[in-house]
Amino acid sequence: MKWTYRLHYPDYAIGENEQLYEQMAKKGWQLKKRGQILSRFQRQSPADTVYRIELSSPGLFSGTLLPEDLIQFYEDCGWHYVTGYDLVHVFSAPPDTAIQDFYQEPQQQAETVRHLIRSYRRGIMISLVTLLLVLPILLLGNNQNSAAKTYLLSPYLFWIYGLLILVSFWRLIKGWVQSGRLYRSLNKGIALDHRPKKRHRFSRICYGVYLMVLLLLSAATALQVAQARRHPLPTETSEPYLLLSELGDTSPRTQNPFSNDESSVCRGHSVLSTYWDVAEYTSDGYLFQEVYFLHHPALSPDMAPLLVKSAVFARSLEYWTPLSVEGFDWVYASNNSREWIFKKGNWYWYLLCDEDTARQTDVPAQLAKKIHQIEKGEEPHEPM
Amino acid sequence: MSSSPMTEAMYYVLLALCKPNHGYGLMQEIDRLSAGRMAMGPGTLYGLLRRLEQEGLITLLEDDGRRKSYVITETGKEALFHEYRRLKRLLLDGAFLADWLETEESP
Repeated sequence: MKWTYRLHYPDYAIGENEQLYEQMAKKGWQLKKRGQILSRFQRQSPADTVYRIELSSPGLFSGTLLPEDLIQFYEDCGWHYVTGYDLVHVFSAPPDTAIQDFYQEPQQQAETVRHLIRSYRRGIMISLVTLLLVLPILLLGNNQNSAAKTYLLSPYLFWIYGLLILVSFWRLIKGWVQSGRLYRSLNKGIALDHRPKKRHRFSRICYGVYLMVLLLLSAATALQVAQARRHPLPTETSEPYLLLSELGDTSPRTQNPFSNDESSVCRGHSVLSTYWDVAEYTSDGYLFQEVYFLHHPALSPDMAPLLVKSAVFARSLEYWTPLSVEGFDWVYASNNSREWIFKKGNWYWYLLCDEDTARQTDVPAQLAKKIHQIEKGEEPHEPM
Repeated sequence: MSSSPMTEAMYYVLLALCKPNHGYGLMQEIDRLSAGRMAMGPGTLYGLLRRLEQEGLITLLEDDGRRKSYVITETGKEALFHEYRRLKRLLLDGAFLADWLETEESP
């Protein structure tokens, strides 16, 4: 059984959708299902078929299905119910028969369009309220920091979100305006054009491109998430982070006493950054590290405040003091002397270790040494 | 019930519902009563039935889920008689036109 899919017109373009289904039937593709974006067609012999769309008129909280008795009534009159999605329901009939069209008076059909206008208006209101609720949550307080970090690690997610909001909003506004126009024209007694000349080619191409971009970005995000899995932390590494053994802690590795997590590293890669998230636990100490290499610093958030605000203990600039460490552009140490932030070129590090390790070892010097070693001989994962 | 004139479609639906009927049967009855002059699509008729029911001019007699049968109510009958009397009076008032028409149409 052969199937094909076509991008259908928006709900308000009633005549255009009817015509699309008629043309497909003529080419041997009978409509089987209408979804939110695509319509599915089944291969059959080419046939002249008349399609008519009826809009359901639900109340505020009732479903969008057409009433059973209405479908039966239309079927008694010779129409065949094909499919429906949301407010749009499609009927078909063979051509050149004495089957009555749904409406003789455009004013009466206008009544069904009122519900479409209402549904677009409701969509706009819901989107606005959602946006007004989500934006403050995203942009205020510590969430702003999390949002900036998510943007750095998964920028595609933000692009998807932005695109979805923008395009959905635009389509809702356009749907509201166009269905209002249709309502007024029907109310004036101008019958619905079942064979419109307008093809909306440009907006259909744009919408197709938008869907493709959305699909590609989603695939890229899925791939990125799949790649950024946590792995057991190796005992030796040439990657740009420290191990406790390199800081003199040779005690055996244990688990996080609170979460029972094993020592692990997560290496991720996005279009903006390559990053390492490292957690190591031994019987004598612990070490947490976040390492970022920015591919496009100009497009990335400002890392110093970002790392300060996401620090475990010293979450404000006043708790940090600049240090002078050879090999770095700048280094900041927290007042508790257990947290550090480093910058070297496009590289950024955040380190946190236990008190004993911090007291017994010069952590910044060890990191500088490790980076120097990587630069000298061993192969780093990114240019340093 | 307002005393404003009924639409032709309303008049025929009420007329046809003097006997209980459901959607498609009603369409056929209207076709018969108007000798094919009153063509009414199912969408138009369905919308009209809902409106007349809301206004209390017709009532639901039977609903088996797939088909709904309606019949005219007493209020509906009153409205129909009122409209019939109005139309009859209009016809009587213009009765002299029949003589004119006869003269104009005679060869």
